[in-house]
Amino acid sequence: MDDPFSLRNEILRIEGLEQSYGTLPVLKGIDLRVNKGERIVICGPSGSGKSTLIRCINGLEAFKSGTICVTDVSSGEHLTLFKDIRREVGMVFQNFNLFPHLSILENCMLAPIKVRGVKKAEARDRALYFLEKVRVLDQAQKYPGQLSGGQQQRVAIARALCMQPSIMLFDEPTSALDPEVVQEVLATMVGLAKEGMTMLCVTHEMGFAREVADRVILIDGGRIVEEAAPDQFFDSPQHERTRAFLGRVLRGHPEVV
Amino acid sequence: MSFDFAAVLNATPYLLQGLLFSAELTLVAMIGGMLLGTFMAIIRHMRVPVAAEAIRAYVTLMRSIPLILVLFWFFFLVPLLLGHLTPAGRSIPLGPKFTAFITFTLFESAYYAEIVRAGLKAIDKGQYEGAKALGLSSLTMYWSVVVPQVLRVTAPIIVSQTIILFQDTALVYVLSLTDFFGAAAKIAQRDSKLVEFYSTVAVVYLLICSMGSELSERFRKKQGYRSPRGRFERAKRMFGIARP
Repeated sequence: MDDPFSLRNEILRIEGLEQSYGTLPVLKGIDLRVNKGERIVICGPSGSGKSTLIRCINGLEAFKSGTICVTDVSSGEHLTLFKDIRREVGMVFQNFNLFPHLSILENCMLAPIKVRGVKKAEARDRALYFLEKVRVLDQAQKYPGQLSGGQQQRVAIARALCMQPSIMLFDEPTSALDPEVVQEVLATMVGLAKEGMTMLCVTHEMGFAREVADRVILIDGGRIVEEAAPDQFFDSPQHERTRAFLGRVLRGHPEVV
Repeated sequence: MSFDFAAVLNATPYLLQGLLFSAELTLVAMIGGMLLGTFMAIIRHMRVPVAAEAIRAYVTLMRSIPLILVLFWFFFLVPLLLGHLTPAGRSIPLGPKFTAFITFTLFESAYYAEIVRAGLKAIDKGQYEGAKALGLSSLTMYWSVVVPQVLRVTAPIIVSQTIILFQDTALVYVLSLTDFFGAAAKIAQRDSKLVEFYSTVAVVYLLICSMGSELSERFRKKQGYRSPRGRFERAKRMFGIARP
């Protein structure tokens, strides 16, 4: 089923991923393929394994069995070692994880210089470019502690973009933000999607999923329960668990999501 | 009872020489100890097989034995051991100064290693994850991201440890080296002016260590600030001159 065209277009392939926390199984065999330019939203109840799945992709979590393969979008090379994968996979965390002792600009310049061997001047230009793109250019000389949560998260997005990754992962990027600033971060992500960035996003923001996603995936109990285009997913879900989950989330119940 | 202050004044050049040696030893042991200690802490934190265990044993050993014993052991036993290793079979004497510098560095490194290791564990896990996700190598992660933060956080404790180190340098007395305390002791005994000299020495140690404690306190207070603006501003704030 793998014709050469789709292989070239495929950015991420996960096969048979199994992961346990000690003896407790968290992921029970995940298969996922993401093509270039696709925007995938992953949702599910708390403890379903969705964050773990994302974190396995770039090796932040060790997994028992399965394969993960990332394609370098510029060279077409297939990468399976995490030290290579991490270059091509950008990640945005719930808690931003900006480096507090470095300025915003330095935060964005560090990885391109050290990992991609970019010259300092070029790294600087690149950083300024992406900071402008996420509309925090005026904060470039400040330190993370001086920025609001929404600004920090946008900086985190810019920092990941400076590495010019093949795919961006988002691990509940707006969950730790005040409601007022959630929109500014989502708007940034929508802008990114519109420019054709391949994205894999774990989020509870269903509005965002509907607007931007090519596919929405429900993970429950460590397995993919449903995978469909947003219209089908939200309007006519196939599985009972999907309906139950949507019922809880869309009715605004503060369940343990 | 009279206090012969003049005798102390006369001896000042000699005392200063001794103080210089104390300072020298403290500085070398602090810098060498911090470099070695940080390196050991990172190895342990990274759980490098074999090396991490060996370092753990070393740190436990050094922190269990009194410094005076370590000094003696190094001064008397190590030459014998080295002698066994060479074909001549004769013990190779290590000068007392060499012994002092090496021993203090090795001894302090164990304490600094524990401080830094605690700091490494205290740093938010997200910092490590953020660095890894960007593809930074372990070396870059520790050098550019983690250790700078650890040093900021542990600065008060490191200063405290260095104050203790400074006081411990008096122990070179047992190697017949002349540090500040040793110098005072020699003259005090020669001129039979024990009270004057030992009092003076105590006051000087008190002054120096108080300044150190104050510095440590300043570092501790500085923890609250997450927004230094420039290096100069940071330095000014550190010494309590600038206001946020």
